[in-house]
Amino acid sequence: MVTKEIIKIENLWYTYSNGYTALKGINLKIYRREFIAIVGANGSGKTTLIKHLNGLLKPSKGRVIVFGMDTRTTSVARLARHVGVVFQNPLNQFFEETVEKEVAFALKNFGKKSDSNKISDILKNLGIEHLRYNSPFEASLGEQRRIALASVLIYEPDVIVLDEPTAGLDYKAKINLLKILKELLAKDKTVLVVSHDIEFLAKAPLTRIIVLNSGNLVFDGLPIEAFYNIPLMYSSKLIPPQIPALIIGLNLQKYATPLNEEEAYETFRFLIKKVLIDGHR
Amino acid sequence: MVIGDISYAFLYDRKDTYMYKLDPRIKLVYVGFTTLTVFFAKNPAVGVAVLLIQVLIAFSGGLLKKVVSLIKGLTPLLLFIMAFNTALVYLTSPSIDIQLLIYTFFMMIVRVFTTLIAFTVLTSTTSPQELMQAFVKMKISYVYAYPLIIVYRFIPIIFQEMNNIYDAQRARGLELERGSFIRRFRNIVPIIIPSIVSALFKARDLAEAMEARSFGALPQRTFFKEIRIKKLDLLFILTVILIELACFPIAWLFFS
Repeated sequence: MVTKEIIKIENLWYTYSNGYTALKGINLKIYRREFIAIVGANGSGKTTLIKHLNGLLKPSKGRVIVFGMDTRTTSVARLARHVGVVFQNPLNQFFEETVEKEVAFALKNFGKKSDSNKISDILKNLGIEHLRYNSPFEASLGEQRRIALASVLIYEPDVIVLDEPTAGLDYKAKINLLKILKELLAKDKTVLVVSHDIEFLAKAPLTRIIVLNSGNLVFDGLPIEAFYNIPLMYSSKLIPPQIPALIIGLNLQKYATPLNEEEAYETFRFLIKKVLIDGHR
Repeated sequence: MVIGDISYAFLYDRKDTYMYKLDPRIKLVYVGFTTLTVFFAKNPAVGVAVLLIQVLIAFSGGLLKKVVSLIKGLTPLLLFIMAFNTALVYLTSPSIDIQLLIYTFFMMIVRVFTTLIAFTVLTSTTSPQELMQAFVKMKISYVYAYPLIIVYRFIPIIFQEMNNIYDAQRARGLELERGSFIRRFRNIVPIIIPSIVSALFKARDLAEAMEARSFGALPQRTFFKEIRIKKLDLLFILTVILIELACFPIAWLFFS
């Protein structure tokens, strides 16, 4: 599944102008078709890290290579063609009168033609086609998030980065978002999600999870390894997902390591069956 | 980084020097008196002396770094104003009196720096709450004093918000540095509109949050920490007034 390396971060340090060092020697490689979650407490450097991926921030030390381009010497506009970042607050980007124009904004910037069919497809896919001629300011938060996502997806970047996409969304909107992300992965895209929402991440088909703690990369590996590592979760000021916490609490992790409800149903079905059969014997 | 330097200079941050213990009303009087002094000074020597006194006052309050930052931020602005003024004067009356021009610019620099250093001393050592209390004690209704303080507190937040907006638009390929003048000008629209919208939303949320906590319910209000004029305050203001006034006769004796 994992194939070509597309982003390489080497010994990345970043210090803000007020002297605060947000990233301390991060080394990271990102491959095509990965679905990565970046987690960590507030102020652990997550947003600073993703702002390096499209060159909004330039490294204080070390370097970031995106599709063979060094971000220190490449313009944001060029990097943004490959790496689309959807920021947390959609209101930070809306300025057009209609959703349609808002979504087409990036196309104009990249000198591409505004394609009405393509806009239709994307809006339909995200379930916001009915808002096409409405003002983006009038939409609900969940819809605004989707408009912001559409305005990045329209120019088809290879890597899509989402900063706290689930903050303030209800359960149904989260499930909807997950469906959209899965479709992106099916289209050979690479997806990075920055989030605190551990329960959401436990449901997502992540290939890798990266844990940041006060600017240090403290974990880079499989979601199962991270979510079943209670000391790691607590030391990074995160709460483990409910299902792994339950399994560890019942000391069942040697039998199975489910991450979410669906996997847990399987596990418990298996375990109960085993207990009942063993009990009969 | 002109704006960054200047806003750093004006920003309040908690330290532990005597300047932070002074009563905000005394500091307001100090800024007012110093401004008047430097504007009435016709003799450049008085101006320079008053300017140096401000630098000393800032130094005694541990604010030298802020003064350096302020000067760094203001210099390009002042250079621009001087160039613009010279051009304007030259266009209207080509026979410029160079000496008069140099005198005018010199006094302008001295006055701007003096006033703004005094202002820096005030804003960077007085918390918005203290400043508001000072206004209220000076018989200005807090319903009017509060918005003033909020404006002052909102400036860094709005700048931060504009930075975020700029980042979000650049992430969608907006380039402000390229293209013709008209195109660049038009490219500011995607920055300005979200900024205004976000400022309006913030203002609405703030108003609701304040009303929810009964802002303006009573004509009078009390304060958790009451400000009081102490001996240190009187000592400070009297010293400043005497030294600044003394500059006039001394300069008249030695530099007239």
